[in-house]
Amino acid sequence: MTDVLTSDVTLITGALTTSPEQITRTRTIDEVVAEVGHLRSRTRLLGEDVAETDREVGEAYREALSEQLDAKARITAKRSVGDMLGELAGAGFSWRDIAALVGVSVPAVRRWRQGEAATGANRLAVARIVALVEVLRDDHLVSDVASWMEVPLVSAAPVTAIDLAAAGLFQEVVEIAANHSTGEDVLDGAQPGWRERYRSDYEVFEAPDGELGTRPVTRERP
Amino acid sequence: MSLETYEAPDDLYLARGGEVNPLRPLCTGDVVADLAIPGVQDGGMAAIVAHPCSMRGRDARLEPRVLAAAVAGSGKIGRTAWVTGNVGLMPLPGLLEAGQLWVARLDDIGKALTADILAGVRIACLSPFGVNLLQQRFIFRLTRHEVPTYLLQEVSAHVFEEADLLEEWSDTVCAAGASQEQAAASFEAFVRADYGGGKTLQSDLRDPQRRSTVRSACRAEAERMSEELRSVG
Repeated sequence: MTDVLTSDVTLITGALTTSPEQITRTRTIDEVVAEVGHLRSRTRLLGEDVAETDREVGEAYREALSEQLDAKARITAKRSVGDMLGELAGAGFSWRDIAALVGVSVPAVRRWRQGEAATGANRLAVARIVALVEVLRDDHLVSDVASWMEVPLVSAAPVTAIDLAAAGLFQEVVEIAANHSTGEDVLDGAQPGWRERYRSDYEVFEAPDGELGTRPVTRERP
Repeated sequence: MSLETYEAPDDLYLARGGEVNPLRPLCTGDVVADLAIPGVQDGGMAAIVAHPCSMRGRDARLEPRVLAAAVAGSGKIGRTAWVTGNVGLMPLPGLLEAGQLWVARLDDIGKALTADILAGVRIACLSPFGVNLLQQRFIFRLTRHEVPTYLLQEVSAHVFEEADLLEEWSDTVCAAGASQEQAAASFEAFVRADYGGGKTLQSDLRDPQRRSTVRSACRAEAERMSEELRSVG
């Protein structure tokens, strides 16, 4: 028992680099518990400090991202709406997704493609989508942005980066691309309860005729 | 029981009134202004309720008759009342006029002549969510089985994509002089062509990851075809 305690004391002494106190005797278990307890309190406080700093830096990062997107969008908005829409179509986005991202109907986008003028607010909204695509592609090396944004963020829910961006969560989309957040983290914040909402006893399957269908999830019997 | 409902009428529609693109292929949830449904009505509004796969044959041609439901005006039914009741109806708020409610009556169904549908005036096309909601209510009405709309979306997403692409293809090539029939035929040939290993662009549409590539390919081919049509014409 004495050997074990002596060994533990050596480890603790080594860890406490800020406490140069010389150990001259074998400590009692009460002393060891008190000291390790103190250490635990300090690491917990450090952890809270780190978490708080992470939250503050995250907030600052999102604010900076928003500024970056706004600045890029203001420059991009000098182009014609048709030109910007053409770029998004060229990147492989569907008109339905473009409409959702801008917050207008599909026929409205169709009219812009045919030359009808968009309002200033809508022109800026289209420019902001182009800016987002540019940031994802150039700063975060997403090679096929439209494809990346259409794939569900997590396997357990059908929510995509397009859904997030359509809800105005542009910074969160960039944070996922930058690997600062996971899809789960963002969904926990944006859609609390998403796990329950998308839990189902049914699954999609390919029927013998080649078409897709739904059926109960098959579970192996014990 | 907890069927889904809409937040705002706009959630249910892709297009209404003059916004409906006549070049868009016929799809589930399309509402036509005047349609005879044998055994149900001699005329009046009707909504297509057939599944997109069952209204077309192997060569993508429309079947001679398509399942449709009668559409009629309705008294006020609150947005939340659709969650637990009125399961024989599909809400069509603001179909013709804001603030007014119309409903598709899911018990008043029959096979209407496709020729009549195509000759008629389409007054609305439902959005994917609108189509999924219609299917959710229809399934529940027939079977008491509740299927979440997100699963119905997963099953039909590639069909919605194909309809969107055919509409865009038709917009492009018809502007260069092709007829709607020529546009549909050339699109089918293009997306169903085997590009290797039995794969087609049509089958690629099932994979969300590949849809952007399919769109880019279709857009490029439609442009190429338009150039060709213009140079010949």
